[in-house]
Amino acid sequence: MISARRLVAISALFLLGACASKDNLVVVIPEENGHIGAVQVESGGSTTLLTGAYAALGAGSGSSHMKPVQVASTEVGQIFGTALSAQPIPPKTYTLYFISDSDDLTPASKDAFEQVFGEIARRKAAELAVTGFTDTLGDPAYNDQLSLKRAKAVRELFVARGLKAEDIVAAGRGERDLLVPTGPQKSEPRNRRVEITVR
Amino acid sequence: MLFALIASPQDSRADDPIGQIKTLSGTVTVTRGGAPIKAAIGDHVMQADEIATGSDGAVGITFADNSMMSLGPQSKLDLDQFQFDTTTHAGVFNSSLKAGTLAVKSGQIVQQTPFAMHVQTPAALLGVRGTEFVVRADGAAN
Repeated sequence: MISARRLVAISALFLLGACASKDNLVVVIPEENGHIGAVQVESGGSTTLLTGAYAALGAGSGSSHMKPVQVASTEVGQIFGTALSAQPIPPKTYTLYFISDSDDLTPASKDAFEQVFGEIARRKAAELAVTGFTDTLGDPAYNDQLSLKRAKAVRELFVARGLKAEDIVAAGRGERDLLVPTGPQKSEPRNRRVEITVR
Repeated sequence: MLFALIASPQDSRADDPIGQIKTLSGTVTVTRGGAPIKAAIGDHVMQADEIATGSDGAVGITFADNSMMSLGPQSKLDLDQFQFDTTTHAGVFNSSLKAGTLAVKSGQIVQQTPFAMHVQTPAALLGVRGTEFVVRADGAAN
């Protein structure tokens, strides 16, 4: 028979153990749009793939042998609340298209171009990543250069509107990340685009 | 020709900014080349910088690959290695959380190459497949 007092003492020990085992802690955070988060943890000579919301490993102070622990969302809030509150506004991306064989934006893209300024205004410190893309017509290496050239042209549009050039990174992705998948050597207007990411 | 394939014109250089401080509260310092400097919103961070927060401090950084990291109070994070090719999205991002709390959202480096982002802590080496996690390291902040 275990006395009630003894049970309390044992529970207290378990609680202490539970706390101590989280001095070192890794927790996967639940994600939107169905993505399953995953982190591979190498600790104490073994490797664990943590997957899914609130999958967690913990270890006590000074220990380098992390073991599975139960972590509730409220506990994540208590321990990581300040760090999570300090997360920046997520980057936001706009896509611009050009009227065929011209440097002129389509009417819808002119609207998107203006929206970029509203997104910049939401942030205390903003930078732009301007990334050009091509279709698959032509040589891939040439398309890398062509897409960079388009990105740099769009960067100039923003500089002309008063943004600082050093706050805008221009890059060319060539025919990688086709918006509309096609075979090689295919003209496709929707793939000839520039993406503006405000971050 | 071979050289042209390997050396992309958009390769990042060691002295390029790798990220920018977007949120900040309390005391936050960035140590570069041994000298700690009080940080402010809008400051850029570079490879090999050491970020530290005081007991009232918190900071959020967005990196060149759109990954994000934010620290809670009494935390210390070393940005050991960051390489990112804006054309191919190939890269590596290695950091060390020496103490405190860190929230991470991975970005284009991990999207292109799973596990190309690592966070070292006193207790473990974390390889990131994406995208969001938090980590606490039991260690001295100073």
